[in-house]
Amino acid sequence: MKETIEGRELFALNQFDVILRGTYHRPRADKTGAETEHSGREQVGMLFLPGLSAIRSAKGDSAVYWADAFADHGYPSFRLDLPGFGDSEGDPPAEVLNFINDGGFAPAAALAMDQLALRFNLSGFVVVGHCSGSISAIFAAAANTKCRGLVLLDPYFYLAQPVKGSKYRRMAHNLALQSRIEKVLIRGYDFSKQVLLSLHGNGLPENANHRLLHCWKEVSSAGLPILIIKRSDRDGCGAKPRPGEFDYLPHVLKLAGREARVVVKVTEGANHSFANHVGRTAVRHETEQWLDAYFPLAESGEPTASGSRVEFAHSGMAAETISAN
Amino acid sequence: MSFDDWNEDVQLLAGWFAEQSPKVPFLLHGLELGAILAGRVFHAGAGDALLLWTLPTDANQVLHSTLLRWSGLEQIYESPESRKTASEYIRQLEQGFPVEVQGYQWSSRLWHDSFGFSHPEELRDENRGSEVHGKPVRLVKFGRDAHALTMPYVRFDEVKDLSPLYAENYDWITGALALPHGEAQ
Repeated sequence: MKETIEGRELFALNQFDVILRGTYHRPRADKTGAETEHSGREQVGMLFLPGLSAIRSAKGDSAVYWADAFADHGYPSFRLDLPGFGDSEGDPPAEVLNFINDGGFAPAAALAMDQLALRFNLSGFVVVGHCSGSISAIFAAAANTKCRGLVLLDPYFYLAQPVKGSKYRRMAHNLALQSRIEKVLIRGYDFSKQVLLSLHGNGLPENANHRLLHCWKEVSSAGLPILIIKRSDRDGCGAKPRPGEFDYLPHVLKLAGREARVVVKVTEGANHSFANHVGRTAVRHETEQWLDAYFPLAESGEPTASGSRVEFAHSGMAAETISAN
Repeated sequence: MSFDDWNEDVQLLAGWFAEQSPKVPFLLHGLELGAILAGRVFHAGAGDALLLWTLPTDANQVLHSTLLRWSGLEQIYESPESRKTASEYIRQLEQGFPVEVQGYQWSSRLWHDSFGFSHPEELRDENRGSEVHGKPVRLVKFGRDAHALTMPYVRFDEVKDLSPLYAENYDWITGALALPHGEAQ
């Protein structure tokens, strides 16, 4: 029986008598025992925050894949189970999504950064979050300056509005999404929403997550390096919203301002979880390139000054710089 | 990975636990595919008691229901052109091609093996199982209240109170392993 997995260690953090558990992926140099080129210098680690109800391995073990890859690339990587989930102690909140959208996991993530930095002698972390995990990441970045960068996979900036009504209505909704008349229904719905949106003058929708947007503005306008990876599909319901839906991306880029260092990448063929082959490869590739640019290992491990810019690019295409304002 | 690999892993883990703490009562507990694995390892002699939740007919039943969920609700995020029906996935598997489900590669061999990977016959009935093995056996079939445990997406908008399920099973475990109340936690 395999009793250990080479290059990994389990860790436990005591947060006010609640034990959080996670996995540490040792960086390349530590695995071989060789002298690291950044020994004695400041170094950032990667901290993965799970999304809704997910455990630290994430869907399809995608977080394991990324943590292994980034550790091989030279960055110590940590996957953490949040309170009440996976191997960690504590009770999950009754309304998980509302709790996350309100920044409920930020204190635990922020404290974990302090604890892990102390234990593993790191100067800070790039926090990686997927979907609702990216919401926790933004809140945690605003709560702790040890967060030196963010990687946000399909983040959203609104509050949840679940399908209301009976079980049968929900079922009908789900069936409608899959049926042949789907496109007709969606187009009709889109058109009515587009009319409503134009009447409202493209202002923020009622369900915008204002607290999150405030935190986003705080961290992005301060120049925190941020990589946003969005998925795209031929219907355009990945990176670009459907007609009639508010497009948060230009709005958050505008909020980020001139000092921002936000890079947006759109990847084709990934699913929402980025767990499929195309998705996980794209996240690995884009993040490694971004790490090399903003957190190079050869120097101090601190982000290099790459100028104030906001980039928007499709995966596989040359980065195109667009104005944040 | 194959079902035999997983079976071997559980067997080794059960042996390791027993070796570490030989005097501690040892319950084998499994849900769906885990129930088949727990039952097989129990049948081979491990554990002091067996608790199974929603025991499927065979492993294919689990793969099939996962595939139905995957090709249905979980693909809402995908564009209509990118979606495949469950029958299309099954056809692909039966023709010898692998499919990717929730980020995992399902090989054609895994699909074919799943039809033959099932539970020991005598453990399909708890009285017979207890009689044959001389140890307590309990089979729990979920009702509507507990199906959130096997249908993960339900939890996104419906919080289920599973306390009655846990309380009832906790009582059975303490009784089956002859533990004073409170020690099973």
